[in-house]
Amino acid sequence: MKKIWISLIILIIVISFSACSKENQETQVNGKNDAEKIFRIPDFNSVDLNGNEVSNDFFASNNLTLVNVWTTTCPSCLGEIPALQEIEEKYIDKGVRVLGILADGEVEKGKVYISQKDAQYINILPTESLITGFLDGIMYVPTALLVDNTGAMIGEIMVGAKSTEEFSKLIDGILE
Amino acid sequence: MDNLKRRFVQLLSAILGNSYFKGFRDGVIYRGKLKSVCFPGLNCYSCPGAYTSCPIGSLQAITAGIKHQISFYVLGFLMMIGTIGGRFVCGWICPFGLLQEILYKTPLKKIRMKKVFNYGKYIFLIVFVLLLPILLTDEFGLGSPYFCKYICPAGTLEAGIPLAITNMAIRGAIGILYYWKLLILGVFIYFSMKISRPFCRAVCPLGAIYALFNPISFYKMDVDLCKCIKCDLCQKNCPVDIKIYENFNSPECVRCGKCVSVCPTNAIKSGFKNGRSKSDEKNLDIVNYSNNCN
Repeated sequence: MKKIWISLIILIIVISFSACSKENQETQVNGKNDAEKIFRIPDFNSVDLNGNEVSNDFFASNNLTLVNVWTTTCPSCLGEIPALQEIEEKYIDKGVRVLGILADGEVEKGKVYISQKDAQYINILPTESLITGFLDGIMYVPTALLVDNTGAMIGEIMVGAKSTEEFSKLIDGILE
Repeated sequence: MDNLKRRFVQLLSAILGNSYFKGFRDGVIYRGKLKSVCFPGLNCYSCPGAYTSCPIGSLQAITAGIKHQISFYVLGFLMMIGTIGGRFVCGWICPFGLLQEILYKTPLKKIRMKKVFNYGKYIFLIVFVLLLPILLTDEFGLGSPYFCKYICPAGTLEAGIPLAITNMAIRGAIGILYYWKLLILGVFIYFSMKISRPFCRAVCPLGAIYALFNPISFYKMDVDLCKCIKCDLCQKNCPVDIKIYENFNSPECVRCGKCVSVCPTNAIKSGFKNGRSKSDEKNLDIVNYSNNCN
């Protein structure tokens, strides 16, 4: 009987230690620790789904960029593609564009879904800097955020698929 | 004393399985290497405290995925656990079983569940965990984890509510589905106070899988029919309402051992081998079938 208690206590200690050491230092993009520092998307040099080079200079060429993190296995993400395309069309003249980041890097599948919905906005693949400085801290997909021309976040992280109306309201509010 | 031991194991299991405190503090989900291990009981992957994955959630993730496969890894794990002890997980490890037992202690008038509802869990397993994610797909061919999404109250309690409390971004995504899940959780809590283990018996797809192994698991219940006086004290104390002397290893039995401790003639035993050799087994069969005690 005593042996069982001792071995159970040892089990708890061992598991706590082993679990602690496996944890990565994740960038806190959202969550309570980030209250003071404004999050900024790290500099990157990536390619879009067709192989064209895209870097963080993309932010500088827009007033606002709607960054959307998605994967090819997430039904909500795929359902959001038409709304994002509508935003791209509606606001491109006002210097607001959409940048999708395909977090699972599945280029071929991504291209199929994008063309299925006739989406024209740019989707890039993850890079080392994007992963360690941004994507590792993303808990859920789809996650969207608005950034200014330096890549700094404006407003809050948005989790879950949003509609064209919801995005429009946010963008209109900032553009004023 | 035996029930105290079981309570201790249940509590330990619930705490260990959900002890990633950083998750609760920061409103995040652990995503390290331990997540490739399944928890033997029903413990949501998305619980901020959880180190491991839910086997039912994992099954649905694979059946709903674009390839619509069945995860042999998860099924194999469940079969291994089932072969070892059948539904002992339900009685000793699953935190949701513990919750129902605690809720049942509330002094509300108790009602007995009709036996026909025992079949409900197989329907939830086959339809919501296996068939719907494969068959009911969106325009892209992806299914959804229908049990997790529309039904599982464990997910609401362990994941939906803590994440909504601690994570502002999640709060912004709350919609009608969240309220539906809260309603189901409320209904489940109410019925758990009136009926013993209603979820385990009528809904739980994991219990449905383990139930199939009860008649053949290594850890078994056994009743000495010579000693049994059919007083039915076993059934009266049984959390899943079975007459154990009619079906020693019923698919409902969660191996809690209550019957063992209340039987006035010590006719009920449980264990891995019961210390019986092959020849003893043969004799016992003759004794049981011919009603010839001694």
